[in-house]
Amino acid sequence: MSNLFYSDIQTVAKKIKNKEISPVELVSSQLKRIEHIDSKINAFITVLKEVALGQAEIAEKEIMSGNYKGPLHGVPIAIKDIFETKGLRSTSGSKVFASWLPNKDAEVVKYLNHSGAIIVGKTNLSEFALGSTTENYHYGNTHNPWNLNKIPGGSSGGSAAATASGMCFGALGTDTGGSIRLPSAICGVVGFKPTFNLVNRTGCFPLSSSLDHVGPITRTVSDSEIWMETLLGEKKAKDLNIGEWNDSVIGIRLAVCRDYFFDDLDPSVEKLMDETIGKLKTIGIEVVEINIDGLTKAIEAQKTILGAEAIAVHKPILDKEKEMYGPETAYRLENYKNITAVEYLDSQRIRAEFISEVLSKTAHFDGLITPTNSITPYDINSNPIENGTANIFNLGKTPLFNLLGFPTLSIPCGFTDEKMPVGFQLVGKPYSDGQILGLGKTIETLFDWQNKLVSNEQQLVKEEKLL
Amino acid sequence: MEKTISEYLREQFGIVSSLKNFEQTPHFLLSYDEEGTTSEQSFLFRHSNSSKENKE
Repeated sequence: MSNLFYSDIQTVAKKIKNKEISPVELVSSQLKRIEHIDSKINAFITVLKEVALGQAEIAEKEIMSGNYKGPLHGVPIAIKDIFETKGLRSTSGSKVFASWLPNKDAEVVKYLNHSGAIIVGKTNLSEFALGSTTENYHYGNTHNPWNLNKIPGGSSGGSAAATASGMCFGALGTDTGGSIRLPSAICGVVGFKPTFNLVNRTGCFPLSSSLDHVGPITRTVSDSEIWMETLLGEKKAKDLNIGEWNDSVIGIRLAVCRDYFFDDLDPSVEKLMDETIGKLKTIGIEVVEINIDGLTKAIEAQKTILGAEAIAVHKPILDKEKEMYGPETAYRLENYKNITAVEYLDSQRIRAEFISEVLSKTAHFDGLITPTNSITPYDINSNPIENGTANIFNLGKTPLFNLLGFPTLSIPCGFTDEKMPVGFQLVGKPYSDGQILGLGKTIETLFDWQNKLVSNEQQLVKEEKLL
Repeated sequence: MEKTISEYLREQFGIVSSLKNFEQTPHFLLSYDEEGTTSEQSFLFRHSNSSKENKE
């Protein structure tokens, strides 16, 4: 069973469908793996052992009686602990909600349950998703599976670390400034932020209501496609052409904007980006450099909008129960109190202008390509809390795509000189999610990444004696 | 015992106010029109699936 830990969903689903492996065996084996290695990685806040085994038994009976539901049926997955789960602790990574048992499931959890997926646990995150390092004051820090001294990125760091270390076959995350894509890149897995509001957010604790997105973290782009078909439902996925890519890149044109997106990169990241662009050209994709105006103003607008919307949610709790918050979260939220209504509305106006500017400049292209992470991730506990707001902008080039709301896919493309993974982003137009995922599937074949994940397993075992 | 988020906050901390709205996960903003562009006036995100091809 251990040779399946790094399989993609298609492989494991085929074995389940053909009754070569049973959901109960698979889930039991996955839970054992979590038990063995999560004490070092700390990807999970709550492991749902009994619930998962119960669901696996149901899935097994359904499949044995010929009621196979699809590629997630019987497959162990995880969800970020920011989604409500009926009767199961839903903390949002906070002390405030440490004992909350919701009376319903989040909409996306309902979809996943309906697909027959087995949720093995709820993953660690930055407190209330406000952070990009997954150093959690209340539930401990999540460690990067490629180097346990390094942050996994965040805020969905637990979801990315669990997926990268073979503790689940993908995990659900949220992304307000890069919280799916950044940890995915830093942990060497695939992260997809769909078009704004495409995936239902009901039952997901908000950070910034006009920037929050829900999406999957997986080991391959094909797996992200499977997740999206489940999260959207068959009809909506079909309307968006998800799963209907014909594998041809003839006529595909991608834009590159070097201003801002290629500033302050680690030299090894810059080299990898140039190599990646070179690889795209070799398979016939045209890559053209463009300029985008208004980048600096847009960055400031993103920070203002996030801060204003976050404090609007938290102010009643913060004013009454400040000691319940971790120091970094409290520090950042207190600072957000200074944002005025005029600044917020002005930022939304700047945002609308920026969306028009980007759509206009990319009108003749299928999408944009940029780095995901800019640098090698920090060592855990090396960064002062005052840097919290700047972290996401220092670590990666992800936040502007939340301001735009455009679908954005992060794919692994290599390693920094410190042997930490690097990802790049493919950014599409609104509702071009199917095309971006399809194109991503073709492009990921250029990198042979799954074997690198498996090789890291040998490194984990050798250096950390995890198993 | 299972609770809504507003019940939990009220019973645990005595917090009421606008947090009742959490159940709807408030969101607003952004609209892409038929051309895939945005309307500066509109703060309501529509689920319009722009099918128009912007590429020439």
